[in-house]
Amino acid sequence: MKILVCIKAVPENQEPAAQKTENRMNLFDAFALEQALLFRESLGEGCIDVISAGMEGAASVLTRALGMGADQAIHIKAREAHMFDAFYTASLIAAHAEKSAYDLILAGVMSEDLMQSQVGPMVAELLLMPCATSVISAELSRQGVTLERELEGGLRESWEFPLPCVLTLQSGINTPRYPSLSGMLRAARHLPLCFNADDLGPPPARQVIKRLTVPEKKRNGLVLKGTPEEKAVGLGRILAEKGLLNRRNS
Amino acid sequence: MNKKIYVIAQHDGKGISPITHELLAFAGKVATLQSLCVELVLVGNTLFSLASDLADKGIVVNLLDVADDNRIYKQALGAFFGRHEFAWICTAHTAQGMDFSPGLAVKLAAAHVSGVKDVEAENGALNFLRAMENGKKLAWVSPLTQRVVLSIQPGAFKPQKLDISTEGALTVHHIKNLPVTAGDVSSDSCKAWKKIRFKGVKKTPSDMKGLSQASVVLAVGNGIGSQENLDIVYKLARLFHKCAVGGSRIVCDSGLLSHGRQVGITGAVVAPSLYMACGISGAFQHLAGMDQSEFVVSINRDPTAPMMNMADVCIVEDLNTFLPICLAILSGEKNGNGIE
Repeated sequence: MKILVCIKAVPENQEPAAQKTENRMNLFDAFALEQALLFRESLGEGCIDVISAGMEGAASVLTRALGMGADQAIHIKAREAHMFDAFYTASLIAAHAEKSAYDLILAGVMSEDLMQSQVGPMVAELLLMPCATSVISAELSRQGVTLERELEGGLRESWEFPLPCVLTLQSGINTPRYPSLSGMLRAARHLPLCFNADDLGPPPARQVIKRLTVPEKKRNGLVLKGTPEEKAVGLGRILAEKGLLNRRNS
Repeated sequence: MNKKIYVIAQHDGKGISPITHELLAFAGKVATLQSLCVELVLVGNTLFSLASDLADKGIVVNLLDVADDNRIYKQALGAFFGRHEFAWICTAHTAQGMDFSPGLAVKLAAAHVSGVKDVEAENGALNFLRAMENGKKLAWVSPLTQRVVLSIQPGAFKPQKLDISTEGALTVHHIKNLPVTAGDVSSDSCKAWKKIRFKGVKKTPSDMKGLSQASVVLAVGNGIGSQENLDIVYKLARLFHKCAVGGSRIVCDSGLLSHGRQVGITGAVVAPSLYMACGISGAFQHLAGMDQSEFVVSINRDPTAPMMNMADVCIVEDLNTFLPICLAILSGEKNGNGIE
């Protein structure tokens, strides 16, 4: 069983005051990698390749993936600026995958930074493989995958898919493990397979970002000032005035 | 050339889903900007009466007479658009729509813009607004291809009353030689398609009733951090009448709350008198589940969290510090060191 997991580095920078942007593994891709590791354990065999396109960030998440237990890393050196276009990224992954006869390709349902949900189903179409998106449970046998897809409003669809196929995974399907010490030592010695994006004949971009902006305020939020105590008192007063809180002392 | 904008209807086999009306509203906006005609595409062989009702309401409807089957959506639409020139195709940015939409774009050599929230015209071309980084940033995106597939964010466009002055029409299209239906296609990939089996739909157990009937919802997000903080939120909940505790997806996934307590598109949609968000950054999927709340309080150490844009009262504090103080003061145990 040959499994390919597509992983992406996303900016760690979640704090408002952070100066330096660190990279970490896209959470949804961590679920995909964990699922591949669980599949390998349940089948008792299998080889897991991890692939990432990008520069230093991609290299660092590939190292983490090896530490978690992946067998081989494939690093496609691509400029991040090009990677806003998911078709570009999907084409690079498909260019590698079509040479390697994978039984199963896994990816996160979306990336946390761009939130496009495109790479997995695009890779599937480029390789003419069936694809199930938003997978929330999956069991693998040598013949195929029995899976559930999550729809809106708490609905779940059940499917059986043959191999090879592509799955994109929703959060909550498993609990991604931490890299082990022995895994990280192995990862430090491991040399990833490296390719330059330009050598893979990437397609021209199909879309670009014209400009960035921040969301408008939907409500005129009153920002409470002062010490935490003063803010709590202010909140209590507002809630009591609106009749939302039954306070003993008001 | 008479270019068109096509809307792919989302339906449940009986009627079209509300999102389809939002897609038509969006398509109408684009049609006005570029003088295009809007047409609806319905996929399914049991939808003839639904399609003719829609045509009677003034919509130009294309009915693709193939089995209503997720496996062949992409193929059937690919075959249809191989013969019908289009400028734009609009799909729903939902689990159903996004299962086929990006692959359809690849099949048609079109760009795919995901999660469109708005549209603007610039020098004759169109730019589309979409959210990034959990809703903290928005990007205006410009497609570079002649033909484009757009998935439209649910809730972004208000459904409009249909303009019944236009002339509706219904055309039924028979699509032949699809991999899963054609008997004579025998390549390996077609055999694989035939092996895909649909096993049904089920509803996951949830506690939506408790949440949707509550007049106060205290909601916790990733910022809640620990069980101790969650226990304080439960104590806070006792200070309110008809109060329920809910949470964001990430908290439910982590196991701190059951999945039945999830607020958002994939969980419960709530509209209480008070929604107090504790450590919830406010992904679009979550905001869509609570944005009708009457009064919103957001407590978060990050002042740029999207939830702050939705809030009537914003408190920038770390929950570890603020929650115990807030409980003490709101419960009246402490009067705020003489501040009042």
